[in-house]
Amino acid sequence: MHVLLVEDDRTLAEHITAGLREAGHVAEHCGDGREGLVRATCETFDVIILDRMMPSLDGLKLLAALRATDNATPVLILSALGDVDQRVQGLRAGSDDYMAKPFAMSELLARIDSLGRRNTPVVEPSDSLRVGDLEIDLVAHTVTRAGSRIELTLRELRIVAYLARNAGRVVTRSMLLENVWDYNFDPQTNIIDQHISKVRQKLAGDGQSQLIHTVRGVGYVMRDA
Amino acid sequence: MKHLLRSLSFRLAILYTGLFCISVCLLMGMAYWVRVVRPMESAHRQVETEAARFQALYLGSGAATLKRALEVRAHRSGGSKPFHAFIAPDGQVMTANLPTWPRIAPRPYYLIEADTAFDGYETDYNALLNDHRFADGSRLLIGRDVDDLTEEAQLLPGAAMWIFGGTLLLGLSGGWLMSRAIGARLEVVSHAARNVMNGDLSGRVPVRGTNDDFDRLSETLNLMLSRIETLFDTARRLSDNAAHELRTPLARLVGRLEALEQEAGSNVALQIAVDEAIVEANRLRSIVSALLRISRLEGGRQVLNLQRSDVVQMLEDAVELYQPEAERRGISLSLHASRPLIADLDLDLVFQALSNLLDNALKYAGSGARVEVSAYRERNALHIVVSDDGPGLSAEDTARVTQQFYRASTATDGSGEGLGLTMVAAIAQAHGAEMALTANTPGLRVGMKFPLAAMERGA
Repeated sequence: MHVLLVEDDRTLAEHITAGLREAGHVAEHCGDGREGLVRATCETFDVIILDRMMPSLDGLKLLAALRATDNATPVLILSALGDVDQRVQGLRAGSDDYMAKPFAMSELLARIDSLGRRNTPVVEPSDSLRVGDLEIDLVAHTVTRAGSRIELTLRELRIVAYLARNAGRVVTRSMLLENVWDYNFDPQTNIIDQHISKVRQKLAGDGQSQLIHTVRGVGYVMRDA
Repeated sequence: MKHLLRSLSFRLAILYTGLFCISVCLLMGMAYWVRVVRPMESAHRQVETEAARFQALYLGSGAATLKRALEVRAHRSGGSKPFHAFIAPDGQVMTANLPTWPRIAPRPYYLIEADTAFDGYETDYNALLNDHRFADGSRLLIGRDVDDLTEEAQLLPGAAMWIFGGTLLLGLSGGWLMSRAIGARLEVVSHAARNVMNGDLSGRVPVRGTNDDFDRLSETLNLMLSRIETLFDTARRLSDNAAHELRTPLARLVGRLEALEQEAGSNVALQIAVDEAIVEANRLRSIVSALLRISRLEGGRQVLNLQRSDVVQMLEDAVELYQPEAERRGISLSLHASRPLIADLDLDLVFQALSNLLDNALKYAGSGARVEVSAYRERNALHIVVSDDGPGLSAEDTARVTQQFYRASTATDGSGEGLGLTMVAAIAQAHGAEMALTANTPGLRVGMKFPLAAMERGA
């Protein structure tokens, strides 16, 4: 993926570009808001990572200017302003995702993967998802595995659907929390893990293979192993 | 109506009406004194002197002279109409122009009706009489007409009642109108102030341009609001900078550690050391976020995103979120709340508060305990309560747990930063809610009391 990083802190930028390149992305760095806006509008990127507090041009203003030109490139804001309302402010301004500093590289990579996919048009039947022998009917709210129906609560269905939509890609705990629960908040403990283990038990009947795998220190991935 | 009675302007109007009524009473009293009491006294004195003169005449010159003198007086014109009656000791009326008189004098001076017919017309008279009985048994009544005065005395109290009633009515209705007018202007001011409190810092009180008291008040308030806005902006910039200055180096630290982890490769000891360092860095991160958030909430810099929300739905979501964790810990978690329960809340924040409370309850209640979330409406307040029947807290701990970084002596679990309840308290305070920790015998009960009426007005 072709990623543009607009970030004024040089040490951090080096770390991020190194991480991105290691993960197989093409990363370009831009240390100034104005220059970032010029590059974002003139070139085509798959994802833009944007800092908020920068000299010369604030990240949100850059985003507004970019969106005003009908540029729909997915933007991930990476900012020291990490409070819930500041996050909501960023999302309202047109960003597709929001991350607070400090962050784990793995979390950033997982989110970029998820964002980059949004940009590529995938022919996806909107009312059903399929991973291996697991089938999710989003209209009837039913989940079947190898033909037999699995009873899930509405929340569990949303967890399964979110994992299935990102099948093959790592999904972090905070991504799950943000997308499956309708509240922006910070839980103090890893309560998500308990939900996942319940869903796991339900999805894998006797002798069936696990579909949800733990990625140590990062999150989960759904894949037909 | 209650609102009207409580308003200062109406109370002032009532006070004013009261004072006005007292003044009216005093004025009417003075009028009565001038128009009735004083003329009556002078009539009294006149009758007294005349009576003394005629009594002396009788004692000095005898009955015949007195009779003549009385008749002359009766026909003299000028002044108020004179009345007399002279009765001999044997009861024979010697001379009289009074139509009737009492057989026995009730008092030395008294009033009787003395209506007189003349040419077929009856004229109303009211005589003030002096009734004197001489030693020989003869009786002399001397009087003057005071009909004007008695009529006035009867009329004045009636008029006073009407004037008094009118004053009261005009005063009260005037007071009502005045209090409405003043109330409306005050409402404009408090509406503007509430807008500012709800986060619209650019809001100002409208100034009419009439340069009256209210305009001057509004101008002063606007000056204060501009000042607050400036201070607020400065504080926000400072806190944003603090966030930036704290978080950027932390991000660099985490980045360096991650790079180090990559380089460690097969060096297990280094791997473990770096992992531990990352855990500590993450802990530092969450402390910094929590502190920044609490300071923003306490400083009122976080604008609440109030939404009319189904409280029960939010509680159900929270309980559902924590149910698997409760099961893992062997704790029974239940919800007691019935719809409808609607309030204007910042859902993200209240959910955060609930999450912190449930986190604590599950952490400290212990296996086999019961944790209960309940919500109810009492008068004009919404209560959200999280209670458990675990070991609870000592009185000393209860008083101090909302302080930053304070951890109860019973907290054996090393996790958590001692900021959970501080944040709950800050969230409650931002909502204008009261937070209370009480003993649940056994266990702990944490309640948040959100004022509903104030929120509805504020919305």
